[in-house]
Amino acid sequence: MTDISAPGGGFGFYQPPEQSPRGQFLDSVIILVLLMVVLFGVTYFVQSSTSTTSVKTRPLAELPITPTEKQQYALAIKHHLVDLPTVNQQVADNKEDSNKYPIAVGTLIVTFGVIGLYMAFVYVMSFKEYREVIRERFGPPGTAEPNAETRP
Amino acid sequence: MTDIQDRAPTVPPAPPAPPREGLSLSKVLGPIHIWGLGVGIVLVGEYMGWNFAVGKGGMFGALIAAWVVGVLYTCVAMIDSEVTSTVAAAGGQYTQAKHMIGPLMAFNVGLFLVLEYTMLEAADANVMSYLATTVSGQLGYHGSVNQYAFIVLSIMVLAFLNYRGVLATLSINFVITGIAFVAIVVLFFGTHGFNPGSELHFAGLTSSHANGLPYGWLGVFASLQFGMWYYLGIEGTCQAAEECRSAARSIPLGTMTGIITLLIAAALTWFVCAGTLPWQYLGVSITPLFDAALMTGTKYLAVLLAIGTILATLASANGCINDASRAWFSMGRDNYLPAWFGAIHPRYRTPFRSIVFLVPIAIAFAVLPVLLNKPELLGTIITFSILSALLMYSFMVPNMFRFRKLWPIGTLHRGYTHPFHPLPAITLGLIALLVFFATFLGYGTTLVTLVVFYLLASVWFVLFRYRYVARGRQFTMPWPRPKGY
Repeated sequence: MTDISAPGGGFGFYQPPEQSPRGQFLDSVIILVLLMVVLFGVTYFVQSSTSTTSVKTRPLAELPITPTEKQQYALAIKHHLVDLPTVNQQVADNKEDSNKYPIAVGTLIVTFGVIGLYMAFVYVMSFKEYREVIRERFGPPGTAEPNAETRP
Repeated sequence: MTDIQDRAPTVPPAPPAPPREGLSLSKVLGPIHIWGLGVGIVLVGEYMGWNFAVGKGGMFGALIAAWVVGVLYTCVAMIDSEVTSTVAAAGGQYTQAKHMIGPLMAFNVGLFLVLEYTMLEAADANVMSYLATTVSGQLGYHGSVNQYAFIVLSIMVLAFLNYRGVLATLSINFVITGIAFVAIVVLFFGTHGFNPGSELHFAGLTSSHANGLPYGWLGVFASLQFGMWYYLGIEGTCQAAEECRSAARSIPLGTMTGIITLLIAAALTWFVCAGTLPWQYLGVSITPLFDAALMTGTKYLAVLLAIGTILATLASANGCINDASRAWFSMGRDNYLPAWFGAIHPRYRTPFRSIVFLVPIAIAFAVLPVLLNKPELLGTIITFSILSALLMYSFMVPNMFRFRKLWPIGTLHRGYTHPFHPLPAITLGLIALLVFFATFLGYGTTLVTLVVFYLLASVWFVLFRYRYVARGRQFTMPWPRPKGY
């Protein structure tokens, strides 16, 4: 990080360099590419890893659902919201299953480890940078607050 | 319990951050615009998206999610109302992070905001294109409808509206959001919701355990992720703080009435859909309220809810463009991003370059499910939005603690002081942790990838970007030195 102390132990302000239009354009492209690559990548991965199992179409009366749901599905078919093969598929995809969400402990630890690492990095760096901000805005600790003219 | 402090401020009201080119955003908004912005962004969540919670954990799972996540958002609204009524600047939570946590967190919060709203905007446009296909089919048109045209046109038109001025943009949002909310209330009465059993049938829910909680209590946790969709985006009211005539009045009033409106809308939505549609269908429906209206067989309800869905998606996309561009603009103004984005239009007083820059990103993600012919990818795009919001809510917890610690009550003029501190912050943190776990259950890969994206962006900021940022000039509020520094 940039030291904002002036040479000789005094206190100075950090003067950021002016960024050229080319540099601004390059930074815009970098953030855009990072965003697109990561998010498009994960979206593509998710779509290529989803699969559906095809099921044999049975009449509504034979499906393992409650009478109320059969009535509601019959009405949905009547209003063209859904057709019978889709109903069969939906019922098959939504069977009661107490093990639908198996928890892989290793994956859980890795996931929350990554989140923890990210949070730790952001907070540690932020608090460090925040001290610089306050020091430059209000002066070194223990000094009287600068007046409007001396504030950056 | 609300403590509105009407004593004279001890320090002058916060001025806007130093404008470039001598221009500033227009101060023209009042409480109704804030309500229109907050509820406008969110109400689409009742029209689509919340119901994926049903697929994750069944009807009762979705109901419990609505309650638990409702508590989370009530905490968000309380915290935001206090902090934003004091930090009245565009960028909302980004500006809060800058003053309370530090620059890198502010950069991250800015990105959370931009992604949350841009992905939500993409989802809105995608649903609108789907709805155009569905409605045209219901009206007897059997030709092909070009979904790309609807996606591109809707985003472009709304971006143009935002480009031209914030007052017209949010006035329109107030009107169309009001109509969309009324449509939900009319559907409740149209289905005789006040008389359960006449048209709404809940026997399917109560006759067996499998119908209410098909995947057990773990399914309830999994539901929390899409339960966010009932209220996601209400915190966007903060983005308009710099454009309010009186942020100290408009933000708390607009935000708190907004969350009350959404709690009512969420309850009505779940109730009507649970009594109308089988849960297996509801869990994958793209337009559940419109489908519920179709199930009644009443044409006027179907037309009204089709209009409601279209208006809700428009209002949401409109509000999202407004909020995402303010966050992007604020980062540009502080040099966190290229300064070029920090420009204000000389005539319309809008952050026009930020508005235009984000348009292609929203379009790209909106067309993706259509391009790949995978409508279920909408869930992934929604998850990007939810996760970005969730990361921001987890930031709000230390932010609130530090706000009270660095500037204790009495040292700053607060437009609103929320009660029961630190209970809302602790509750928010705990529920946010639960929702992270819920996301891990259903979208673990997406969760890790998104966090890795933010980590890479943070490294880029520290190594290559922060050198362009003036240190002390980031602190724009006329506040005393923070306690302990």
